[in-house]
Amino acid sequence: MVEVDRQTLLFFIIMFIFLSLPSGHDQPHSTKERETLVTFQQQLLDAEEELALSQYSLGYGNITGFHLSYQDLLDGKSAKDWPLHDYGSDNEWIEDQKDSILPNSVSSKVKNWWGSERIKDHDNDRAYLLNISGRAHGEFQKVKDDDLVKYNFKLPPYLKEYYDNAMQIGNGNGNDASGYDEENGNKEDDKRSNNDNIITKVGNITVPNGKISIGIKSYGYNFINPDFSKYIQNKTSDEIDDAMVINLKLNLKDYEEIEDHEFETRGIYFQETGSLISVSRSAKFLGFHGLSHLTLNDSNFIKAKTLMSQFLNTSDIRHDFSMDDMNGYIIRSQEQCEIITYFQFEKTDYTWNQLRFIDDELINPSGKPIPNELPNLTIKDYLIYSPDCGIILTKTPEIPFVGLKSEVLNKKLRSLLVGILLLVFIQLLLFLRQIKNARTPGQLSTIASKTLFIIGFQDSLVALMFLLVSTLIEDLYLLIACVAVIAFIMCGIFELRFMVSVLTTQVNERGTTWWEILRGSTNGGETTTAEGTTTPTDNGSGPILPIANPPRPPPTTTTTTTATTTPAGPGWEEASFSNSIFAGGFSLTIVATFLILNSLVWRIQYRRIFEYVGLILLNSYWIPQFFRNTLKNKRQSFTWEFVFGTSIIRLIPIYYFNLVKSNPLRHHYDPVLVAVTTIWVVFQLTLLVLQYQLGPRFWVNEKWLPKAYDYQRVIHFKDLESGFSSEILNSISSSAKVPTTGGRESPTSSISGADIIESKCTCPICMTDITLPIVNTINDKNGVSENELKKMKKTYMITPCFHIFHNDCLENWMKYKLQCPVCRESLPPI
Amino acid sequence: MGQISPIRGFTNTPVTKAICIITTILALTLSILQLKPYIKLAIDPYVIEYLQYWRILTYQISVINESDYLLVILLWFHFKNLERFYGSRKYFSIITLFALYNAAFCFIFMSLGQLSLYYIVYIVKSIIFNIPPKDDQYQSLIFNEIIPGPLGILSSLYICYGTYVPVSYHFKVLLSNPTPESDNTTNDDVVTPSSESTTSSKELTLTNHFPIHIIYTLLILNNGTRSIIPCLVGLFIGKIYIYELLPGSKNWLLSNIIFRFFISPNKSINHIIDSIYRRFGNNGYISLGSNENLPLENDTLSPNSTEQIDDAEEVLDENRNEAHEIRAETPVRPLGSQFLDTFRS
Repeated sequence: MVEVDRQTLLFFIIMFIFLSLPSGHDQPHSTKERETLVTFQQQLLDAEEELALSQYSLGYGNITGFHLSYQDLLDGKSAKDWPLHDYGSDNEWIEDQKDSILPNSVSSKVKNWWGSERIKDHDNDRAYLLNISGRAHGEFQKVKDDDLVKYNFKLPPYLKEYYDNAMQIGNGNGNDASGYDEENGNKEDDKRSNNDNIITKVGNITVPNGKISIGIKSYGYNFINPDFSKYIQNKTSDEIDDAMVINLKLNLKDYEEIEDHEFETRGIYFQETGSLISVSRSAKFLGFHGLSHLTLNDSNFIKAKTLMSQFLNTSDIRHDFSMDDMNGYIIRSQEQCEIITYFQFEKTDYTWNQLRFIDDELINPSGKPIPNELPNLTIKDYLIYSPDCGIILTKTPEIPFVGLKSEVLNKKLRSLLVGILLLVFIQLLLFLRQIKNARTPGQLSTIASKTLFIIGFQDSLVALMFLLVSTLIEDLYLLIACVAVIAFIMCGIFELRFMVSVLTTQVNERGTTWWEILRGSTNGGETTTAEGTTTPTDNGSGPILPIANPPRPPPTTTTTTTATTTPAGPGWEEASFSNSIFAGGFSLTIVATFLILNSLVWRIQYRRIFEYVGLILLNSYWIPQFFRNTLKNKRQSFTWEFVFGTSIIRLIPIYYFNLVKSNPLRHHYDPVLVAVTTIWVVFQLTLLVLQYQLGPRFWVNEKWLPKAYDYQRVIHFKDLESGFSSEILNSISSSAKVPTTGGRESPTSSISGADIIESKCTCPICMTDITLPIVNTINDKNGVSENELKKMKKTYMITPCFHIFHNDCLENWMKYKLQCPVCRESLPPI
Repeated sequence: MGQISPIRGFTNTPVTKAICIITTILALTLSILQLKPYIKLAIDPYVIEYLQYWRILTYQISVINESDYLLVILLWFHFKNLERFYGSRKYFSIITLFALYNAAFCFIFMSLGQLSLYYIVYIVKSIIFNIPPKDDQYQSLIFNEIIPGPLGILSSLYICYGTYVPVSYHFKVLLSNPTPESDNTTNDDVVTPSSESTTSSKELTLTNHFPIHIIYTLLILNNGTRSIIPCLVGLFIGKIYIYELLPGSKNWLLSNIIFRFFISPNKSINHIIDSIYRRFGNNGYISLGSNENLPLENDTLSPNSTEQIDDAEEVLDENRNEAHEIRAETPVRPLGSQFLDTFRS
């Protein structure tokens, strides 16, 4: 009973794949793995303990990755011999390469600017940003330091063993039982085979300079964030009101965007000095645990230590730390450089208390007055040091490294979304008006379903994209969902319905070739339409009502066509159409969405090509309509309001993203793309306008066209005697007596002399006069002035049954029925 | 069935219809665009600290939570009887008037209440409990904030409704089984008509207005003091209005243009565009379609009774007949109206 066609099946399969994706919680498979996991958990717990007990003067303690100081490394000591130093009151740990993992070349640079300027007065001094959440973009340059020695951090032996085992399994039978990606395994293996080649490591920058972007997310004060405040036992020492834990996402790219390095680090932001430190962590470098010693002085150390131990406590290692987490740690240790970053922010124009007020209003809007110029994230200087890859990156001087706070960015995004919402809404209204306007089968038959499909495809892309994005941005969920819903209503309901009605009216074209449609089927049409118009009134609706372009099945004519379409009924056709459109369109949209999302990480050149090709393709919606008009010999199908409105609405976003340099999505400035798409769309519009002005087939040589009935044929004087009513002759003779006005020669003379005689008759539809040019056959050879004739020909139409109408009147009527309004003779379609 | 008021739908109540639509759209828009904070009214901090006096004008335009929305819409829907009573334009004028008076009175009431309450608290603190007076900060007391929404307007209208709309029937709800006084020994189950007349039981007499009373009570209590304050002010203004003490209430009418724009913005814009065309454009034939708003104008201006609708229809019929008669003489007849005429006859 339930017949599922192929597309629907495809749809369900895609949905099934979505639903059955693994959830990402792997359980350990063997006792060996379980043991490894437990040992690793214990290692992390020990490190936490070590952190809790650590003091600045006593050094890092036993923390993986922090065993060797830089001097030890230079001296060629081994981490296995730890402890190498014995710190105490007489031998205090200080920030020097003798004790610290930072080389002096790095730490001296950092000391110059990092945290050096502390604000004291909260009411009068210009303060640093309090809430640091946001994004910033700038450029980096690599510091050349040939003396820099790379650390060679080692995995603890038990993890090394586990890792090697996993690799062997991964390579051995390709059956990655260990939870590794097979791909990763292979890559790792390759890497090990040629040991020195570590270029593929994330963070191993090969270019001298490039682009950097950071995304900072703050966890808030530890006494406000509920995860942290659980661990506050002692109010005075554990509550820290001028520093907070942050999550810093770091992205490094070269200008071509061929290399793309992404890091996720955690760290501490000190509000009073406007300085930020963050480190990465992996199984061989427990950065979070050693971070507090990297903060250069004792007071920072205490805050950092408190915050980091609270932060590390938030996840219960015994319960929550899973195999996936451990694998993540190990993979990072093999494939990623460790980094330590120091950022120093600029002061804002506001005081501490003003900033607090602004932040409150931005986070919980209540209509308080805040300044229009909101503070930006401006980075004064920064340094990124990778101990194991031996890389130092700093800010390119002169090039600003700025960005927006996330609330400001959200505000910007919100106004952008309101704009998009407005556009989508206007488009919906335009569509509704267009649907209202094109209801008769005559009009529907001239509309190109491909055009509708492209437009609908764009809208469904918008709907799906926004639906996907809506879950990502919590603050703007309502607005994004609103855009998605309106776009979906537009494409999923109205456009689909419209397309179905267009397809059902054009169902009769299935058997025919475009050649026959071009011909307009003069003789065949008479019989078909005669039949078609008598039957339809009793079965009510359906595609066969007035068939603008009747089907032409080769041998037996009309009876079979009506027989094939009627019994199945219009419902069946519509259902199959809507099913196929929906399924096809939906799968195409999903594929396109993934392609587009994927393209965001491509290198810039490929992305550009993709943009150009995609936008050109997506914006060629009027081309099918142009051909359709030519095919059906119809000047106009969509209303101009819809044509221009839709084109403009679809161009505005392209203009915005390519021309406004500060657009929140950071699309690059690209006027060429704008010009290309605009020219392309304007070209299509010009074609449509030209079709309207010059006739739908202006671009085709008339000789190539099949002969169709010419409604605006030239009437010769002798034609009047055959077929036409005597009214015309009468009007000529009557006008011959009375001299006419209007600057022309008086008809008395024109009968004998002029090339064209004007005759008046009444249009039976609007009951007003039509002026008919009649060519005088006597003077035919003299050559009738073509232009004048052409101009006059536009106003009238003559049916094959010799009835004369105004052009507009009859064309309007022919939208409803292809029948002569006077004698009910069937009419060939235009 | 399912009809909760004597008037079906929004028949001839364009103002109520417009208000219901606007309330819905505004509430949705404010929520989607996250503009809700801009229609909140609180003396502290908005007025005292930031001098945002414009909030006095904006706080009545929309509700910001779902339960308020439901109650407000139900009340507006019920009060369409009042629109029939007053006539649309007068009704709209009264609503405008109530809105202005409510805004002003409510703000004054809040300020005075807040001040006096603060003063009383201070007195109580310093004299009775002997707390030494210190530089105390301004405190937000119960008069500080009210809930946004047209609560005051609806309260005033509620008074009008009670006064002007007559009760059409009463009914009783028996709260306990009737206890026959004469014989309660034999058959308790069967209550015969004869015994009913002699029963005495707890009963509740209700009128057909009772849903409005219930909804209104819910509205008053819905947000605690934040909704009680504007409602009390509204009731007070309603009472003044009933006694014809409210200045301007008697014969002030809103300008017709504004009224027309409010009830059907589309049509009035079209009308303006049409008139501009007629003045400046080439005066070709005027289609019959553009004459549509002539009978409709009458419709909306005159009080809306069913008789007048019939009248209007008769006039329309006459027009049609005339049109038929003079069709021969009228040469200008666009195609569309010709088709329509064939179906009309």
